[in-house]
Amino acid sequence: MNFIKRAYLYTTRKKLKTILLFSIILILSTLLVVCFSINSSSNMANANVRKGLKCGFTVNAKTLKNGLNENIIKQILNIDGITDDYTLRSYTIAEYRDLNNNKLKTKDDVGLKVYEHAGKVVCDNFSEKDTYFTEEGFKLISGEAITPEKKQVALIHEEFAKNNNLNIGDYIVLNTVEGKEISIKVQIIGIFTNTRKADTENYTDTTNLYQNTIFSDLSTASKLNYEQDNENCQYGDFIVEDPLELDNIISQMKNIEGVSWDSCVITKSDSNYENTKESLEGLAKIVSTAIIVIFIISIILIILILNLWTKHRVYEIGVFLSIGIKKADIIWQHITEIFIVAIPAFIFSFVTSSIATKIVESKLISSITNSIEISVNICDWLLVSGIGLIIILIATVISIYQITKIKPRDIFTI
Amino acid sequence: MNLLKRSFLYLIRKWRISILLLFIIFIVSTLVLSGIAVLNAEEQKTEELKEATGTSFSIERNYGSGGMETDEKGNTYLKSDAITEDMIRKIGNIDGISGYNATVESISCVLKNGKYIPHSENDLVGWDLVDSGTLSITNINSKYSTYFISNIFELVQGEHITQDTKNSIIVSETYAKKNNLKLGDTLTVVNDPENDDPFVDVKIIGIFRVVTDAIDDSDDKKVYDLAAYFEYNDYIFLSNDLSNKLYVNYDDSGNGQYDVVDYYVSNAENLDNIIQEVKNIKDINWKNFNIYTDDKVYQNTKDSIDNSSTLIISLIVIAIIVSVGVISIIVFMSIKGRKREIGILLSIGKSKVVIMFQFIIETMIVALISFASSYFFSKLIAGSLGQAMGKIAESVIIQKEQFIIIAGIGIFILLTIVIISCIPIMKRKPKDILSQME
Repeated sequence: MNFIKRAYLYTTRKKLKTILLFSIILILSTLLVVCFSINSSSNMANANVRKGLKCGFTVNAKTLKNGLNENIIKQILNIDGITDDYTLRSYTIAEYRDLNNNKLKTKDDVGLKVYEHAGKVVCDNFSEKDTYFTEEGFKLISGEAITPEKKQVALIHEEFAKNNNLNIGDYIVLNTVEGKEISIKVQIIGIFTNTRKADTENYTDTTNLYQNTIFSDLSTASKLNYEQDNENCQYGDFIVEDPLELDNIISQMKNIEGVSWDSCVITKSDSNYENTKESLEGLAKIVSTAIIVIFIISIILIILILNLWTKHRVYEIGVFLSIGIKKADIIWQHITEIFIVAIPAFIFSFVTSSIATKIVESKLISSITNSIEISVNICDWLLVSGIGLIIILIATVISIYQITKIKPRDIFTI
Repeated sequence: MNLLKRSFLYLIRKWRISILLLFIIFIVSTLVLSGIAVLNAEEQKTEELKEATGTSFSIERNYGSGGMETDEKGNTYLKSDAITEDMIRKIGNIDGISGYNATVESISCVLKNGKYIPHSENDLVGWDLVDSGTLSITNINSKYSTYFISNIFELVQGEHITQDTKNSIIVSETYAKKNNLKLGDTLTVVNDPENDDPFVDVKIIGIFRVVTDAIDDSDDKKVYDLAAYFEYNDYIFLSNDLSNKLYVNYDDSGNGQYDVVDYYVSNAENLDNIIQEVKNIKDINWKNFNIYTDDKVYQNTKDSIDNSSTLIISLIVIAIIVSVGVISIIVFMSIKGRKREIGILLSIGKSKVVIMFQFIIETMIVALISFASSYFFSKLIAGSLGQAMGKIAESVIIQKEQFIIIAGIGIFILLTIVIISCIPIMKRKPKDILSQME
């Protein structure tokens, strides 16, 4: 009877033992494959957290002669890792007039007078994303916000509208106060108000008063600032997918030609990341430590179990040795047996780990913005199976070899 | 030979198998204990992460509800109800609030040894009051000041201002260098020396640094307020008690009155409940105050944080289930493998129950040794495990209570397995068992 037949007979006749060994290998390999899947999903979850922190940077190109043009903006947005959630801004001070060239009334009972009938013109591609609206408590009370399609439009303060009898749909003229005189006609599309009071009305110059502030679009800004019919702007705020890449992305941006980056001020806004960094890294470390611990323990466990397994077969090995079967033959028999059990177990572990990951997945929150999936990666599975087979092989050979070293006579007396 | 003796003898004579079993149970219980430790650490880190999102709410006096008034000195001030110190403390005591801050901003002059000291960089105009006057901000907890929370400033020496800090000041590194100041030095602060305002001595308790690539002073988005007139390096942070000492000549600044208070919550999930609790405080007329919440960062990251912790919990749960499964199979196997022995014991007249008890005693001895050693082992490795997880060594230590629960559950599971494994033997007649002997 050769060893293959013996192995086959052992596994089929000792059905319960075979099933138990199969289960142990299956359970442990499933655990390891699931570990890998969880590791990669948890990296994904961490990346999503970092993305949610919305870190980014601001380019202040006020000193450039023509600001940032559309081509540069496009090139910046093309850098890998920059989201399309960005804002472009320009600022100027303009004198306000009506269509008949009459100067409009501005608030001037407080503050320092520098320019009269004038105010700060804040130009945005999206007025709703402007800090005045997001942080200073400005609120649009009627009309529409400024979006990139809108050109030569304005949002004015409630009080300014009332004092000058202006309504949505009316036109006003913005006139430069410094340098070459440029004027542009804009249509009022919205009226806003401030919900909080400025604490410095007495110190600031009147153009900065909330009541004298006007929001407009980038084409208007480009006309007033650069006398050009395009949408060049002074500032760009960009958000990156991964704050870890922030420095890298900024240096990539500086490689864009045709801009003297040295004269621009680039500021990072990554305080959200700085604040959460330690806990985020801690969580990632917890996962990797847990996985390493599980991995090592599983390997030790399988070695110990196989050792225990063969210990119970000392008697059988003694019988074989006493009837003259070679040691090598006995080792081969055990290797064959373990392979008969282990290979199907590893193959089947793909199914069980897929089921396990599905169960885990059903517990995850999935929303559109938060794409996270967990699935078994074939490479991980192959890796676990391959390493698993090698370890099982080594463990079997060592434990059987130990037994065959004992003299048959001693075996029977144990 | 009694039961106990037999168990001991079996364990000692079959020492190889006993040791293996001991090792296996030891390894599995170490796995479970480290799993629990990981869960402890995970919980703490997730909480930290949620707190680090800086979720907060602000209470602001309602500027619309009062109107303005001008006093005989020509100062205009708001008539609406200001936030009082009592109110700030009452709200701050609500569970779940990790910290709060309220500030009074003003322009104050700083003196050292009776001489006005200048700004860090600005060209001096030669008029002491202008050269020395800078933005002063009183703080209840400077750690929660917007400047520090948003990482524009970082404290490099000394400590932050807290509720209990008195007569203290924090200045910038640049300012300190320019004026030769160091921790512990005494300065004098005065709001407006030409308005008979008091001079108050303060001690430098902290030095901050401006994080340069986080700010752009020239950005026009800066809304013009008091702060915009001064360089960050010239800002001075004062302890809160000074708001009552410096601004005695002004009705609306300091003196226990505030425009805005910021409250930071430790667990962003509870924000709504906390605000509800705040609104339930009786003696506050909410018509005079507005509440603004800021949980943008938390909302953006919430789902991913929850997913991350679900993943870790799943990992540990799966590992624990697997451990229990593996240990069951092994105990089952080792009892199965002792048919020959059972047969012999039966043939010399031992009852089945006695045999089962022998197995139980053996397993318990092995289990207790394994559990105890894994407890000490996991304590031993907790340090390095904690280090691997990043500075949270204290939290990865397993609590004694947790260990007792785990050991209890472990013993219960092992007991169940031994009994289940013995069922086939119990059911069979001794003759059948003996005829099946290997």
